[in-house]
Amino acid sequence: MTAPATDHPATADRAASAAEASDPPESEARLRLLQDLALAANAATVVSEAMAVAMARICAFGGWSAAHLYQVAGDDPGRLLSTDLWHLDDPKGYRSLVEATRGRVLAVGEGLPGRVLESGEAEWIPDVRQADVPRLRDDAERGVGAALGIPVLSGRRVVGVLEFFSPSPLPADPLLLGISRHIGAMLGQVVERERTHHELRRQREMLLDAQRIAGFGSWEWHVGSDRIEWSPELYRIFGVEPENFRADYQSYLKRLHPEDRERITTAVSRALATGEGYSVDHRVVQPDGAVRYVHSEARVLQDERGRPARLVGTAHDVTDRVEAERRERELLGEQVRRAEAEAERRRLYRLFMEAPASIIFTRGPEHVVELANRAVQRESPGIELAGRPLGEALPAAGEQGFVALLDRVFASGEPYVGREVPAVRRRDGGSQEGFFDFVFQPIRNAAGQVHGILIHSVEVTASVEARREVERKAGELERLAARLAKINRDLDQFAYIASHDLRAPLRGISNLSQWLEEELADTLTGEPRRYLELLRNRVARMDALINGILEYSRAGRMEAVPEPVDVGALVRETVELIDPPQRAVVEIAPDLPVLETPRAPLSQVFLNLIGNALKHARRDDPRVEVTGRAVDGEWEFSVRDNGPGIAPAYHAKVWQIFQTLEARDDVESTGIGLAVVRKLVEDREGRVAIDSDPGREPGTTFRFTWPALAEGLTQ
Amino acid sequence: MNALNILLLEDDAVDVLNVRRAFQRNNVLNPLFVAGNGVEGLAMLRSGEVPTDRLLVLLDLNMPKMNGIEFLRELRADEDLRHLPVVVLTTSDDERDRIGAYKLNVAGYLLKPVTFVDFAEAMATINRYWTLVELP
Repeated sequence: MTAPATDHPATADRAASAAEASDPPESEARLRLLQDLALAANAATVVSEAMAVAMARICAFGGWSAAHLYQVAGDDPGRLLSTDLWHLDDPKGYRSLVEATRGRVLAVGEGLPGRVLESGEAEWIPDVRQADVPRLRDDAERGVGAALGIPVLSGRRVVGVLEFFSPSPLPADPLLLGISRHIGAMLGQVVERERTHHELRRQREMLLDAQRIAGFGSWEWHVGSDRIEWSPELYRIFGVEPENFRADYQSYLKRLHPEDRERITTAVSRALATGEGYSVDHRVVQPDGAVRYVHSEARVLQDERGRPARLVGTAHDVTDRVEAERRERELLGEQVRRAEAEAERRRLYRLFMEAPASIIFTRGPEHVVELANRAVQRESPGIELAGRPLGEALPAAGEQGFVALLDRVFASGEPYVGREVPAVRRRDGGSQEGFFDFVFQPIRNAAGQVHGILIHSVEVTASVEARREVERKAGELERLAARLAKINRDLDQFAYIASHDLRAPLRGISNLSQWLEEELADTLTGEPRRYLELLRNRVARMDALINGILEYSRAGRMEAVPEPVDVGALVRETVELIDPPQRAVVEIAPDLPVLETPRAPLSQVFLNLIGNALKHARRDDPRVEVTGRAVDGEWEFSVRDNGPGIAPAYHAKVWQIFQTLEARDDVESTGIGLAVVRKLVEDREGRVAIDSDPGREPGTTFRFTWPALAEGLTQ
Repeated sequence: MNALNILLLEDDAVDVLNVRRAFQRNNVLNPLFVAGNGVEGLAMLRSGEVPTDRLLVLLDLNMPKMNGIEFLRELRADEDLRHLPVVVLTTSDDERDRIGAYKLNVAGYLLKPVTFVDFAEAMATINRYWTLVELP
């Protein structure tokens, strides 16, 4: 569609040039109109207000009697929507037009407004009937003689069209056309402002809606200022009202959970120092004590010199999520606990059922069996227990008084514990005696009344019998020990009496041989004299042997009262008793202990060992060393000689009674000394030993341990 | 002063001989009575065969029928004989025998083989005892 340049309608350009040539009074009116419109445009807060003023003033100025506004559709710049904004000098005369225009939508180029939208210029139709504008001709029928369209402009963009009507033809006024562009621009500003305003408000509302829906608050803090701008949602998150909460840093901190405060102050200080933002999860305590979980993020905005100028941040209320997670965890935990409890219950039931002990639950004063585990079922095969009174199901239990016991437990509420109770069990037609440990535990209901009994019984026959066997054996052992002790005593007695009785005839022989020697002193020579000598010699040896037996038997009867014994002194006394030969040396270690022990046996041991060492030295400079040392809580003493030594083959033999290693005619010895030593030492649970190997080095060391309490060491 | 009478209770002939030889060799002329056991000894004492005046009883412990200790017990229980001094002769130097004998109030304890010196000392002691007893 092209502009009707060749026809009458005048364009704004032409009108403007014409206006410049107009008279001063006319330009003055024009100026006043523009001023009025500018005032109205500035003052108006809404478009309708500004438009109303503009329509009225322009009608008055140009002789129009009606005005109407079309607005460009917000979503389609190619369409005009009729508005309800009218200025009508004569509403009756235009009723038809108003009716026809209501709700009208015009496309680009359609009707006068469409043409103005298309061209962006004002258009004056002096006589509608002669204009080539189809719609206007229709309007002519509705009493329209002339029409004027003025675009409402936002920059170059048409945002609306104001149309003016006159009932009769009206010649184009170049003055008005000349200022139409100014008018359009001024009114366009109003439209634009309102649209911007609307848009801003819409966006802001959207943001707030979004924040509210998301539980998302925001804030902004001008560094240095003591106020922080909070979004409404932030107040909600903090549970405070904007009217009575002063949003500054201190009151913000005060609302944080005490445990989280330090993390926030650290994060803020760090953000201000480094210019880097932060992201912290923390809690907020609302005034009513409710705790909210909040995820806060902030970043630092710097001024043009790079210094932190503002801190802007968001706070996201994640309480629901946190609590949902917690609930989920709890739910999960609850499920796990329930599963565990169930597993535990099953385990207990299995334990109960498979327990090696017999367990029965009874209920009521009749002791009706509620539950019996497998051990019970094994004990009473083929007997139906469940649901029957115990005494009826197991008559033997009643006969042996167990039902009476149950009655007592049920009545008194006191548990019964029986240890090793003898009981007869019937099985396979026969009966068998055994011993049982019983526990009858009353079971109480919630009200504390006994309503059942837990019977727990374990057969202990085997252990009772085993213990009786052990006791029997212990008794036997005791009797044996007593008998042995008596035998030992008898033996001692025997040795004593025997040696005594042996001695008497021996003395007789000794006397008789001596008298023979005396009586025949003058006549006895040669062989007979030597025979008599040998006879008396053998008598002496026999006497020594008998003395040995006596000594040995006495060793077992030596009094054994412990006393503090200075072993060093004891050894010295013993050596004096032996009276060693001239050149003999007996060296006694200086560190022998003082022991709490019977004196006589220890003295006897040293006497025999040292005596032995000297007797068997086979040299005229015998040397004996006596030493001692503590070993594992007892004392070990050694008697070492420089004699010929004892071959290892004979080590065991020397301890035996009457065993000597040399012919008695060479070294008169009974072979009793070491046997006595061993007896004395071993009677005290000590040990004897020999170290000697003549093939390697001469000398023998006799060692023995002497269990005794050591009082200390001698100096 | 009468000589000291000696009653020897000894079952072993060699031991009796031993005492007799010692007496002979040392010219001891005291009357010597010999009993083979306690029963015999008691009978001799009670029958008056052995004077109970100025008497020393030499007592062997090991004897058949009634041994020395049993004899001592009997002697100490006898109102007429309880004052008699007894010296025990024995082969045993066992403590138990010694203590048993001393409990029954013996004047001495001689270990066999008995030397004449021991005898002489014992006899001298007992003699002094009787002298004291006889003092008016």
